[in-house]
Amino acid sequence: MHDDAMCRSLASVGIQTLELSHEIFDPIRYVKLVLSNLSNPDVKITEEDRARYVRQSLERISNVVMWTERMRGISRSLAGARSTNIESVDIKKSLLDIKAGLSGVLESLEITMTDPVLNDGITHIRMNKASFESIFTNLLTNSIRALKGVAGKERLVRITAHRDGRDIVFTFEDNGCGIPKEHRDDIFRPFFTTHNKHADGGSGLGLAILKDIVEVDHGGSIRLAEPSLGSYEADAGHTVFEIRLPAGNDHV
Amino acid sequence: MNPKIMIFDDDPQWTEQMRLLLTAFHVTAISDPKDWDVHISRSDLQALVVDVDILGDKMTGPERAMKSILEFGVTAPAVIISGVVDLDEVKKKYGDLFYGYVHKDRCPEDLPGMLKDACTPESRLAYIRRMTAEMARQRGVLDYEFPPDWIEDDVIRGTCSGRDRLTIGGFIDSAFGGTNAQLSRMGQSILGVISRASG
Repeated sequence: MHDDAMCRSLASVGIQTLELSHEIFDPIRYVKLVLSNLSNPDVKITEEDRARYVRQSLERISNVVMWTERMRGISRSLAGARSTNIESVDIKKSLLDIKAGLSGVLESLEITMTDPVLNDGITHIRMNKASFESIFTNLLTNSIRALKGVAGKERLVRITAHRDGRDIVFTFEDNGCGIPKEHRDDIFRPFFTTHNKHADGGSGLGLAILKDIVEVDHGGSIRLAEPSLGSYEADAGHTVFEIRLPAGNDHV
Repeated sequence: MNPKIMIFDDDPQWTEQMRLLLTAFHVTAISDPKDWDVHISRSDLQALVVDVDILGDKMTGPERAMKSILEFGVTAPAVIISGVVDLDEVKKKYGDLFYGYVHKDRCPEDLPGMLKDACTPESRLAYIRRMTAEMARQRGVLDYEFPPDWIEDDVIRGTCSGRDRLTIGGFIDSAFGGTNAQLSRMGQSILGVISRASG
């Protein structure tokens, strides 16, 4: 990894380590408080509440495990491990696999994810497959959160791709609640989230990690774009990400 | 009757556990900053527990509490809690404006005892005296001279009879020189003068 890329990653991890204390220690001190209450004979707790507190504690500890794993992933990327395993990724198959993996939640929330539209004869991209899947799983998870609160219209997600020189440009679009203007500059900042962390589990780390993968590991770029004309009904509730990735040798 | 306290923290699961921890108190828990103003001016609150970082709030918990001390004359002792920020820094900034500072890690061990102590009349008297002096000091008006008719409460003004002008520091000393009675009224009178003196 180049020095400047290393510095960017270290800076990113530096911020995240500071903020991670929130993600790691909050659950631990919550569990400590729960155990303190459960072991206090003066505190009267029903069996139903006791089971709920144990379940909530387990969920919080699971989050600690998840964040620890993510930090380990970022550490690996610092060492260059993540970008060494480059392969030819079948774009359509990978995107459909991601869709299949989240089909349960997509169906339960009645979200329609149309099949990806690959223009200019694009079929494959040469990059790390796990990274490719992380990028689109992350975006889809964000869209699901955004679409959950949408009522009165069909909930849609669409992915398209076209070629631009040596790059493949992906457009990822949903018609959820949109991103307010005042937050558009902040969304890639680690731990920034427009969701309620306590209510829906959004951590605010996803887009920061995603940007790291796209830009540092693969030399691409990601940005918020304007909704494409004629895609869905023109309204303020669209979110469009443009992800530009070098195609490698496999883009036809 | 159990002392009434209010907890302000953005994590409802945490506040639910705090209710259990603080079974010796009658707890009102709020998570939404919009509910703060509704509850903070209640005269029956005997103590507050305020988290520093509140999700979705432009103000920190201590900033909001300090604003309420000045705007509403809130004199209930506040204990500041946090699991994220350096509490020593918060303490350095606010000092005696708040009753105490407890890291969230130490809540099970330290908070119930601290609140029990805060709810005694002696502690509250000492706190209001410390808090008003600190507020005047932080706003640079401890030596500010003012006429007694600035004191809106007739009874409290009576304690300063025979003087043409008073300093705020002198007023605090004389107000807390004698009795424990009418604690809140004394505190509110002093805060009213501080607020007027500091514009």
